[in-house]
Amino acid sequence: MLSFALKRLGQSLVVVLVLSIVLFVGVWMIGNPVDVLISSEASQAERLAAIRSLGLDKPLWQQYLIFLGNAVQGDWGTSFVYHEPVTDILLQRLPASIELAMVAFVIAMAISIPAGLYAGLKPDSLGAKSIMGFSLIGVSIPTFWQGMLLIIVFGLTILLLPVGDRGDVATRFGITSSLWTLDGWWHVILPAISLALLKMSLLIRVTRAATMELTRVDFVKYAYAKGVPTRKVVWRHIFRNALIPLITVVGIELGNLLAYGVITETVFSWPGLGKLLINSIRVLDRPMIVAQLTYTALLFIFINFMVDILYMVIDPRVRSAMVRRVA
Amino acid sequence: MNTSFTDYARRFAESPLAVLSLAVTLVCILCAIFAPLIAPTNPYDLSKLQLSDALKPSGSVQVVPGEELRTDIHIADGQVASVSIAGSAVTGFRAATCGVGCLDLSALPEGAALSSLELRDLPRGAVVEGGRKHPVRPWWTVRNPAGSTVRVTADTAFPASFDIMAIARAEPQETGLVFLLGTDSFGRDMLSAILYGIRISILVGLVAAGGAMIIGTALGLLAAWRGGVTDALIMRAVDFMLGFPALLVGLAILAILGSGVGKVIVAIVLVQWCYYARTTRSVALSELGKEYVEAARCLRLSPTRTMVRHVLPNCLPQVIVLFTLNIAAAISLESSLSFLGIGLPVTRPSLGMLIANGYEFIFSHKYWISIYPGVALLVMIVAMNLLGDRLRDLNNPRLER
Repeated sequence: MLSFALKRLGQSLVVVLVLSIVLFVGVWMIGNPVDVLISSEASQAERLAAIRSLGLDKPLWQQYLIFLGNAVQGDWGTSFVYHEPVTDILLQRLPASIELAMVAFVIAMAISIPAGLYAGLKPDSLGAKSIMGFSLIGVSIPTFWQGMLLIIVFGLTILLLPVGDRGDVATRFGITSSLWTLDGWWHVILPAISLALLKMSLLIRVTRAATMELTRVDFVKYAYAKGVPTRKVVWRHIFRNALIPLITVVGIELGNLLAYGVITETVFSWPGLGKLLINSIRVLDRPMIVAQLTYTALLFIFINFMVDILYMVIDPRVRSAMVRRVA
Repeated sequence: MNTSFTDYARRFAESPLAVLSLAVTLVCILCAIFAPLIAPTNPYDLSKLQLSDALKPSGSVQVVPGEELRTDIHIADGQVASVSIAGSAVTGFRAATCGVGCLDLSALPEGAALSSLELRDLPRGAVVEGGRKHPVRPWWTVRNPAGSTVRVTADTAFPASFDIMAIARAEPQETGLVFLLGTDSFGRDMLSAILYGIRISILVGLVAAGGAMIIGTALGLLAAWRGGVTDALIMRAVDFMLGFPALLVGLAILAILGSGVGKVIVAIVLVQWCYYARTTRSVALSELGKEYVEAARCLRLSPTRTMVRHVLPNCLPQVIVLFTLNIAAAISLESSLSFLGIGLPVTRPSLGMLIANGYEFIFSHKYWISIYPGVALLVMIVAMNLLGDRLRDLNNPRLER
């Protein structure tokens, strides 16, 4: 088990290394690093000084090592727009994105798991069919358009919820978040629902498929035959086993929530990382773009790693299969 | 072959929903091909766009604003002395004295339909009957002057000769063109823009998904055939790509390359090739163990020929299903990137770009600009997804009866 985890960790590190090379090539070879890291407003003397301090006059392999060293220390240079270190700005924006993703995640899970379970247990009922129809539209509907519809219906027509911005924020336990205030909650609901809708469709499908598969396996049939009450079969035998495939999806979806947050944050003017990324791309704030893409990619590599480990911890069958493959 | 196709078609048609989605998909493709013929206007012809048409709700009629005519009139002894005119709605002016300090000014020809007649720089103390004065200046405007005649009066007699400026505006005219789905902020007919938008979206989707299919399938076959290091390298690359969400990869590529039609296609190809590579490899691996491949090997056919002529056709059903689903995904991804403003250029708006253009106007309750393109996009993607799902079900031996 430990050897598997270590091997998986090694693979993840290789992926990180590949990623750093891809980034280095993308930024340093395709683009001109002088443009990327030094503002176009800088004077000639400043440029030369910066080129020397960034080590751009050194051979390529040394440049790569310097790039790696700076990246490990979280030094991504200074934003052209905000004139502050990139890492500081990202840390300021992080809570807004995380709180949005978290609320969306809770909404998605709370609705889609029971819905998927129901649709899997009674696949021919009208309720199940409407759930699946909803799921199909949810998969197909463009996220940004769906967000605009929500704004039109809840924000502009029945004037129920505020649209745009984060509302009041408060700082508790050292975290500045809008979840500490009532006004903040009012503001987070609509974007969170918008973000959750897309994810719900997939979660419903996976839960339903797993449930349908499980209603046919022997141990469930046996439990029914033995006279175990339906409620108990559903919770003990079906639900708990249906959770296993869900974990993979949930892990990846958690990352997706942050990625697709780009769209939701743009539609709802949510001042998080996603909106920052889009603004940075529009104004070509390159140090910001590079840093953000790297951090997000690292996050995904980390999530994938955690999912694999978790998968193994939960399901003994996977554990034995994985261990056998390593050995 | 023929019977198997009709058999396949019959099984496909068992689901009315699938037939409907096939029909919708075909209609979309026809719209894309024949957009220039069926669209009421050409949305790319910037010279035809008029700001007076901008932001009209659906069902409004195109109205060409009335011609505006400015002339300097020199009036001497109560008569029009000199008029310089070049217009079709109004050909001239006539002045007639109606007493001391009273002057009738009419636009010619007699009874020309005017929406307003404005007189500027009138002599001091002059008043235009039924007209409204400019808050500060001695400018008077009469709306819908009866018989295109206005009466200017003053308490004292007019100077013997003076100059005024007349601005005549003709009635606005309807052209008979109805904006069925309204217009956007540039005065573009939304129906035409949507038809052309479907064209661009489908074009980008087809080219991108097609490119990804060719590259991905080739790499998948290569991986299955060569095995070993080649296989490992390709599959690690696939794993690497699949670890990140499509939108993020697209964003990253466009952030490095910049925006444009070609670059969006490159981004989508780079996002999607891995699905084909993985599917083709797994199918090809199972096919490689079969007897017909062994027979081909015994015949000493070249490996390329074995792979392309014998193994590839057996991988195609899976690949085609993936292709159908991926066109929808490509269209969806392209519209998302365009919405974020880093995809296609503004001059050739895809559906995503049209929705993005309408975004700022939903806050002033002008919903039609973003709603209709969104409906078109949604219907198209749902139809393609249903079609792909149905094809996949037909190919799935587990569901066969």
